Amino acid sequence: METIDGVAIFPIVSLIIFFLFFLLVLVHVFSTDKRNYEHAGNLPLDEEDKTIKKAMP
Amino acid sequence: MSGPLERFHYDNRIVKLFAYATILWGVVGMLVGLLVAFQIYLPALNFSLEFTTFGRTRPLHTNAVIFAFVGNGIFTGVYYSLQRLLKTRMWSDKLSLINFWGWQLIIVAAAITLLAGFTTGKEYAELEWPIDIAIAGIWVVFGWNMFATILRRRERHIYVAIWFYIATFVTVAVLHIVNSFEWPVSFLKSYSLYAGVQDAIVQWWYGHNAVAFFLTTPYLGLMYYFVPKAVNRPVYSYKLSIIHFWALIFLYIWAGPHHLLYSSTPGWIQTLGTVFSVMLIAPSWGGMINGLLTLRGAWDRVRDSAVLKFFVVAITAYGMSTFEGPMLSLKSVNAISHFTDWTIAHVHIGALGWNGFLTFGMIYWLIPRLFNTKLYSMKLANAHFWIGTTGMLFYAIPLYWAGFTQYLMWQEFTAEGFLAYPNFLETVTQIKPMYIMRSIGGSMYFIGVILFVINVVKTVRAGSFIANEEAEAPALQSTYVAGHGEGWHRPLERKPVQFLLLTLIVILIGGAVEMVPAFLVKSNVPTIEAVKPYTPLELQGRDIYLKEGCYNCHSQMVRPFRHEIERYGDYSKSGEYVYDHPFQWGSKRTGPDLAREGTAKLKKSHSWHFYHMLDPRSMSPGSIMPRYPWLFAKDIDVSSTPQKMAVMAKLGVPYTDEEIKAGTDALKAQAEAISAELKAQGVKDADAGKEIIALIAYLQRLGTDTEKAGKE
Ligand code: HEC
Repeated sequence: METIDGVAIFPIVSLIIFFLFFLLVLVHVFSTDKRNYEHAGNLPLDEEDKTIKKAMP
Repeated sequence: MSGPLERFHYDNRIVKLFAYATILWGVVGMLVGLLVAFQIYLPALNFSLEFTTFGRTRPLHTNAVIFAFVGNGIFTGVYYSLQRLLKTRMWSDKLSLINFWGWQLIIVAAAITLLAGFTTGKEYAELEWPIDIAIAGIWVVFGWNMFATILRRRERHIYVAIWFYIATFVTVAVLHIVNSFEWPVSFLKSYSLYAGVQDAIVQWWYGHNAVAFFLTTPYLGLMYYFVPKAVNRPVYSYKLSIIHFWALIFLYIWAGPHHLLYSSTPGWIQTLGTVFSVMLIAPSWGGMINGLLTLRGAWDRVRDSAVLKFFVVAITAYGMSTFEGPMLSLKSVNAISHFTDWTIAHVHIGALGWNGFLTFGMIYWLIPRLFNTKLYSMKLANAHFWIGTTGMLFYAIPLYWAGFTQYLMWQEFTAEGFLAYPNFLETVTQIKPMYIMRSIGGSMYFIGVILFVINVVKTVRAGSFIANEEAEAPALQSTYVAGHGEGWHRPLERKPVQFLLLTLIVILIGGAVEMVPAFLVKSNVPTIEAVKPYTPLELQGRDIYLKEGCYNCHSQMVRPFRHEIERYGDYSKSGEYVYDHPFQWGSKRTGPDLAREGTAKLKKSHSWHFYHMLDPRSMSPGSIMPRYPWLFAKDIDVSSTPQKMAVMAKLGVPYTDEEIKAGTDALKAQAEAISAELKAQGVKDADAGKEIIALIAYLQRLGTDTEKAGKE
């Protein structure tokens, strides 16, 4: 590349790519059933009773 | 449908080790921070010793706090949460230990080499090449262990915290490697492969993303694990966390050029930096909201729990700095904040508030669990919280004040059209009281840390350590039936390798789009005929400038503002830096800009520089610059000259073979000429062989090439 002309196309293209990807994420997130994420959201919590309590009689 | 129940043990020993290291390096890093804060207004505290002078202690402070304190904090939280989220022990205890001891060894090596003056001269990436290689190696060990653990998990679904860990791992690896391309000159000396504008672009792409992917994403992962843990409720919105994650990592990678606004980098790169930084506010606040609202309905518990108090302030500080960051990326605001103490205030809201407080909260929560006991004193923890929070305010508010005040003084003109404060030092003296207040704020924060240490020690003494914590979980079945209406992201959350690759692609897009044109487009850096390579003596002098860390206080970048042009001379052009491996633009003007120090406008005699470096206060009464007496005792490293020139030639600096061969003689001749002139100016003991001569040669050269061109 010799000159700066047209360099603006790069960021614009990648912005568009990102925007499409972002839309995809948004659509997905809003269209998925919330219950699908119940298990995932509770992951940090459900190990508690199995471990600590056992270690602490 | 789940497999047979399996029993296993979590490795708590590695968590304990990292937690101890976090505390130890936290204390060390903050103590050095205090020293630096006092040095800035009490130059006697530089002790006139090369090892304890500001230009070396300040990089030690930043490196210690970022890579030692926060670095170990990351490992502590990751090693604890990863095992539990995946219901498995770490894949290899051996790799865990290599990760631990390797990282500590790197820290010790870093501390020693930085104080000894071995530095690349690139902010936040000062460590020399052998240490860079070691960092890459240990980082790979960490990633390998993490990935192997993920692959043998007992929980199919990979929780959002782990996405952030994965993004941290890949991105830090890419950043570190790309920014560390340097050509070794000797065992602990190298030159950056890039020069000038390109070096600056790579460096701040790295620098900003060190903030993003070392100080932010891993800590967001910790937030997503430890905040729900501490309130015993799931994160406010798991869906929001998906948007948060992807938007954040994509946008962050672009924001680096906001560190280069009004510099001589191409305009389109600066614009990109601004635009993406402003957009960043959305995902950042999404994350903040997700963190804070996890406490919904549990606010009463915040009153009783020191851990939650720390978390709330940490997340609030995150929200504040991620609001401030985009503001500072607006050109008009950046004109004020850049080079002043505003930036320092901004980063400390992040460092003290977000990273510090999240770490304290996490360790207060962890230690009693690791030691099967209760926290020694809730009162003490609350005291820590209050003195720490107050300390932060005492730290930051004076510095905001200082930043504004100094900028207003820099840019003020008299009615006659002269600078109102032509003497830079006046603008420094004005803000000394703010520096004093800042050091008091820092001391308060540190007292809090001492309370923290006492509390942890007492808790540890009272408890009994559970090195291997028993747990059980069903084995992961190889057959899996996907749920209904899962969409495409859920399956991705079960596939770590694909996840890693997608993350890698996302962060590479931003990096590549910004940097590839910056390297390929020739017209980005218009050549200036008059700009010539440094003479051998100047090159040695420049290396002394790097070694002493002068860039920690001096910029070399005149911005295109009327007041800067009036003060320093014409604004800087990209073509002036083509031989600067590495660039030395700096980011903070505690002293004046030096880009045009050798030009008629600023020119001082050799003897002025001689006495100024020996004792700045003899030439500039009230100056806060350290003394450099050792430069008058140490010999110039003459024998390294041909090798240094040869490496520069490899990197594209047009030294001919003859010039390299004659380098040593040329160096000596120029040194003799300077010492003769010094003697003529009445400096009887000017010795041509000493480092000060090389440094003077460099300072007198600065800006003169384009000055000559202007006269022709
Ligand atoms: C703690 C911050 C600090 C460090 C580190 C520092 N300086 Fe300074 N420097 C200052 C301040 C403040 C001034 C303005 C007052 C004065 O003239 O001493 C200054 C002034 C100067 C000046 C005079 C500039 C002018 O045009 O008036 C030169 C030259 C200089 N410094 C060179 C250096 C070099 C070379 C180093 C590294 C070896 C260095 N400084 C390190 C703070 C610093």
